[in-house]
Amino acid sequence: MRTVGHGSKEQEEQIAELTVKARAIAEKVVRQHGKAGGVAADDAEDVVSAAMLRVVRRLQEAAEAEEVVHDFENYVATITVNTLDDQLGRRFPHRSRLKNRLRYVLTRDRRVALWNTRRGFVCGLAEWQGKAPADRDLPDDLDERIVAGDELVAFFRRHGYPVSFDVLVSRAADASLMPDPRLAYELPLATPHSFAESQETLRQLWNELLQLRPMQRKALLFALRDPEESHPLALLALTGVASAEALASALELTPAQLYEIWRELPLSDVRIAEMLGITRQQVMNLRKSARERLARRMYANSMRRAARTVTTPEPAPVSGSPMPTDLLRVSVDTAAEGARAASSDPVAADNHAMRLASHLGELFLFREIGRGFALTVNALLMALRYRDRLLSAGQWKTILTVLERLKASPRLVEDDAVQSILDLENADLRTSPPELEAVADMGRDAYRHS
Amino acid sequence: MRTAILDTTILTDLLLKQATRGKAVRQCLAGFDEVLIPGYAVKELVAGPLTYFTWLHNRVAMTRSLPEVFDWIHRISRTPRRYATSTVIEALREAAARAEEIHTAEAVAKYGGAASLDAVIQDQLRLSLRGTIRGAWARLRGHAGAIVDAPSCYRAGNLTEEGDLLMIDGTRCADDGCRLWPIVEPRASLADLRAAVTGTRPSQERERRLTVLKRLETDPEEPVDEKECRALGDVMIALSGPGDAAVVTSNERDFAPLCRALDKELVNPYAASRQGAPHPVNSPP
Repeated sequence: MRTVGHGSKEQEEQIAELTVKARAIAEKVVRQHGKAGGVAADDAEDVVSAAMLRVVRRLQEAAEAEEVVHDFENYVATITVNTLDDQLGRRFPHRSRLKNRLRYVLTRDRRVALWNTRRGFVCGLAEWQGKAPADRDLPDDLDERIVAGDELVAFFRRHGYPVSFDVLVSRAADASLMPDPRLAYELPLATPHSFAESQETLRQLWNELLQLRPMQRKALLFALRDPEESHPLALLALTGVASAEALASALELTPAQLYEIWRELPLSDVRIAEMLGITRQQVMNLRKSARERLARRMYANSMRRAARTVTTPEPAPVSGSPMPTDLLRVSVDTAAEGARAASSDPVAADNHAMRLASHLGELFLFREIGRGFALTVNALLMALRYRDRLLSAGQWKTILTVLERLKASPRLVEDDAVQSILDLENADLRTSPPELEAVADMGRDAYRHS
Repeated sequence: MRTAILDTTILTDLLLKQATRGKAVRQCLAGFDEVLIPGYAVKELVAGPLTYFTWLHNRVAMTRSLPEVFDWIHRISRTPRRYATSTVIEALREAAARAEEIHTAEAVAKYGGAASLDAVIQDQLRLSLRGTIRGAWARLRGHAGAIVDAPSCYRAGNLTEEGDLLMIDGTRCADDGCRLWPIVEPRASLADLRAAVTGTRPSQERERRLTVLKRLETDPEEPVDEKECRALGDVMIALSGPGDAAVVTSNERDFAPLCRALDKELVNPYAASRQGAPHPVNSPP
């Protein structure tokens, strides 16, 4: 508590002394809060200077009015934090909006809470009140959807610890504004150089979107948004990449149904979960896997486009080894015949299965084509070899789909081969010798007993 | 809303034993609205079973003879359950025998070196292992949003390639000491946990667990080291997730006292497959 005498040399000296002290406090506050909020060095100096102006003005006013400034340190800290917020609010209005919305939820929803600690404001589940934030990096599964109460509660429950409020705001803001560079192809934040390029990129993206499983596609598209508040589906329609009918069909809606929900877009995860008949967590998981697949595919496409000489990380095919085009075609035909016979004549279908196994054994000898090819053929071979019953119609369909994919693209990348393996496993087919599962038991026991 | 939290064995069965036990697990989990995976279980999965899979894959990739691979398996086996070691070796022999069934002299004549029986057997085995590892990793990544209560030392690991080898990180604690309080403290008293662990079956594992819990009671500020973290095992799994989550485990004997202490339901997916109905072990009648 300081008393400043009015209009004297002593007053000036006191103000000067307090100014030095205030500056140190302001710099410390900006370091603490600004680091969490991702404030750059230049901005930090601006904030300190602006805060100092306010402090000095206040000290001079107090001197003229012969007032006492109570709790000087806290006063300077408060001014600095307010100045920081103002600065960030002007520079990053989106962040500011996000921060206000988060604060509103944290102080209104009884399941969560916001509390003050020596290390700044901290947030988390209500039962964690009073605890310090955990000293660890925030996970990356958050974005601006976190402002919804349900999403926020789910986030805290997932990660199990209180977090610094500033850090949460910054990460959520960053995640929504600056996506993974690979996701720059995801609508609508890419800004290619020309309309032709942007249309081409959108067309590729649209094609990749159509390759997603329907549930993944819906979980992604119903929730898409951008900071400019327009909807990315509109962009697809406006650029002529996808007609309204195609958009509706991709979402398994009639055009009339799409029109009905258009104004509600983007939908919350709770709403999407209701529409799809799944849980909210499943919606989030579907969207995450869809984004990752899109990013991978678009990134791979862009690399293939950009590269003039391709250095493949996979072993080069043996020179002179031909592409087994005929063998692939015969394998697909055999699988098609097996699929046709599966429902009506299972024994005939099983004959086709044995024939197909023989073709695959021969296809395996072309494994030098590439790792993706080798993994896919091996998985199919195992599926036919390690079965203890006749293949069902569904299993035949999966095998046929995987083979058609392989025939269309024999030099497929390993990630696509892994997807084929997952598809086969999801169809209850074995893609490796079952006895190898004992390796898992060896590993688990060794870990626990070491 | 019914929520399931998986223990490490169930997670392993789900990701690495798709064709057998994984099926029963999937059927059981279909009865839940939400499935959560403890970060601790992921850590154990990566450091244990997945590491062994990648090791065997790399051994097969580097070693040109199956008998030599068998020798290596004997050498590294530290499991008290010797059947696991012999089962793996049996699997390799079986794989070799099956490959031979459709392998013909004509193929060798037509396709040369790539068609030699040894090369085919090795490559089929290597690719089967690779497919299993990559598939499990992809599924784990797909469920990353369901991972809860990751300990502070947990880093989402990477699966990388070095030539023909697969390398996996995230197998050792990253920090020098781990603070488990964000997971432990709000959920149970250490005294209650110690009492619950005392009720599990006597074993070296139990004694190590009790020692760590006692140490934490008397000296909570000292960070947990890697050995202590491993010793806590089932306790960390039982503590993970929300208070109303059911713990899905096949190890009823050790988890039942812990679940009772934490007032959590225990569900055994293999009891369900035997009895044909979901089988919560300690839910009220």
